[in-house]
Amino acid sequence: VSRDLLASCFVLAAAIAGLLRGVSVHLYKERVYTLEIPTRRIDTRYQALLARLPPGGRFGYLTDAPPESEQAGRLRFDALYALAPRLLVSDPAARFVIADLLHPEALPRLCAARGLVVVAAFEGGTALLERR
Amino acid sequence: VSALRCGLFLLAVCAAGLGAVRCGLRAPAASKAERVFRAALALLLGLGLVSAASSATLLLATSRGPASDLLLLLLAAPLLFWKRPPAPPPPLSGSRVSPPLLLACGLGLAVFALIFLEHSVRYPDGGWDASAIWNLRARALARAGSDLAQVFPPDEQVPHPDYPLLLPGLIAHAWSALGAEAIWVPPLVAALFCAALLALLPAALAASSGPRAGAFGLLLLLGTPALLTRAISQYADVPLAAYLLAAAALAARGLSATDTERPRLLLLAGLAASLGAWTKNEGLVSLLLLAAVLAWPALRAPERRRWRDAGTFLLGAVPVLLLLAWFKLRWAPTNDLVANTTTAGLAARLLDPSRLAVIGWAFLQRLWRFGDWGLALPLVVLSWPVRWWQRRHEPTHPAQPAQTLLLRLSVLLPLAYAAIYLATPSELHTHLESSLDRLLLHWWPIALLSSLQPRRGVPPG
Repeated sequence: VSRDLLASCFVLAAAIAGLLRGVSVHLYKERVYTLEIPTRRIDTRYQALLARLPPGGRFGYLTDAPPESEQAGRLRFDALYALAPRLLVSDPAARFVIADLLHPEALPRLCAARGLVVVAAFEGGTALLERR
Repeated sequence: VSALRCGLFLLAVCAAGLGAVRCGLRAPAASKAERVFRAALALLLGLGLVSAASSATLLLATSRGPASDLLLLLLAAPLLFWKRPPAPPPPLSGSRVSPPLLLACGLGLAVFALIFLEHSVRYPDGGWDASAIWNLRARALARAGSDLAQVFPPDEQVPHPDYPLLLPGLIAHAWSALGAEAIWVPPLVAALFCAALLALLPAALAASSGPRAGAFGLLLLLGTPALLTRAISQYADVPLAAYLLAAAALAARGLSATDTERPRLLLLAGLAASLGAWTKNEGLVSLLLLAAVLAWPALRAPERRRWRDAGTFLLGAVPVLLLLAWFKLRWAPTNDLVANTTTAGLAARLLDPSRLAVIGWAFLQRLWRFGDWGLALPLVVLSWPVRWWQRRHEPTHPAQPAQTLLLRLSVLLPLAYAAIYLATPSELHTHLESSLDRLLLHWWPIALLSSLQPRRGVPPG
């Protein structure tokens, strides 16, 4: 067996193993085997809200996701991305507040607790609120 | 108007890339591998220069629009008609790629492309970092008009608000040229950078070490699962890896080139490295290290030529570094690692041996875990002692300075990363887990380029 053939076999083995691993993890994580092909667009959730906002500015941000959880982080970054360049701040004095909720039914309770009124609420759990 | 602007944008990318390559590599390409190398390089430099020029006009003059494209086109177009020396003779035929290897390369590329396409259609916004850092900034740049205070607010609570703008600037500029925020632009930009990386490594290897080495490089890169994940997620790690590889390959070529070609190649290497620094902060570390490695022989024996090499390399980086400096000083908040560092804290961390052990163990683990459990790195590492033994018994060869440069760079880059981990004020385990794989992905193409160099430095094809 020549050295070149041996090297080719090793490289091929490493390449095939790596590529198969990458592809299998990708297909498994994304559940491609279920043959359901969901397309996820971050903007969909925030589309109606975006239409009601001015082109820029700073807004308070309110969510019912557990604080410091990955879910809370994901929601906040999705909102920042969809609503850019608007700035979402943790400012209790902000006049306008964007609500980004996992459980939309909790909106009245959250508003009452924080002295906010609903300007507009949208499907999926987003709303524009104003300080009373 | 939109079609005209799009045309101008594409022309600027092509002219800037081809013009820069024509400046550095004046003689016509003598082989297919060399043509692929130059095409990939032109794509990388063209995209980077258009992005840097548009960011420069935005940050310095708060001006948007086609002015930067027009300026680049006017500057680069004459270079395309620059008289070239006669083509060198075609290289002697050397190693050949066997049909199974060729088939594996083709199949691997096809699978990679299919997964990329499938993922981009389903998740066009990209992975976590893409939507939280790169595409978020691109949207802010595109939507805020000339109001830069809104793009870079001082109290912005996003990860790494001080990251430079090559990727977001390019995407925002492409949207501006299109006249719409087309969702396919970020995946397309990610695909172009990934394609450039996948072409650059095998072409650089094939041009210096023969087609078989090129095929090996491509297969080992395709067999790195992390590359697929980062590429389809639209992360900036792939463009950065491509720029660093381009810089290393050009610098290595420069050291083996004639006295006339040498400074041109080193200037181009400096430009490529500076575009890496304009992509991510880590690129700046690699740029400084490459300059130090170029100057290294001058430290051991007074050698003015090597100081000159390092100086020429840095000169090529100056324009983009000036832009980076302006961005960092005027617009970006202080880097979180720098902001949280105190002298006393830094001294305590540097003198803490337990941190060294943690860092050493994390690097050691990557020998089998790197790239999401691929087998490519263990295979390459296993080849190192054999190569080292062979090199000890090889005669000195004109190509040796280039090989030594690549070897030094691939050894010192992980050490530089280790030094940063030693000094980091962030929680060490979290910092290592969240970033070491990415840093090693930037290093990986250079390591492959170095590891697959020919035994006796004879360019066989």
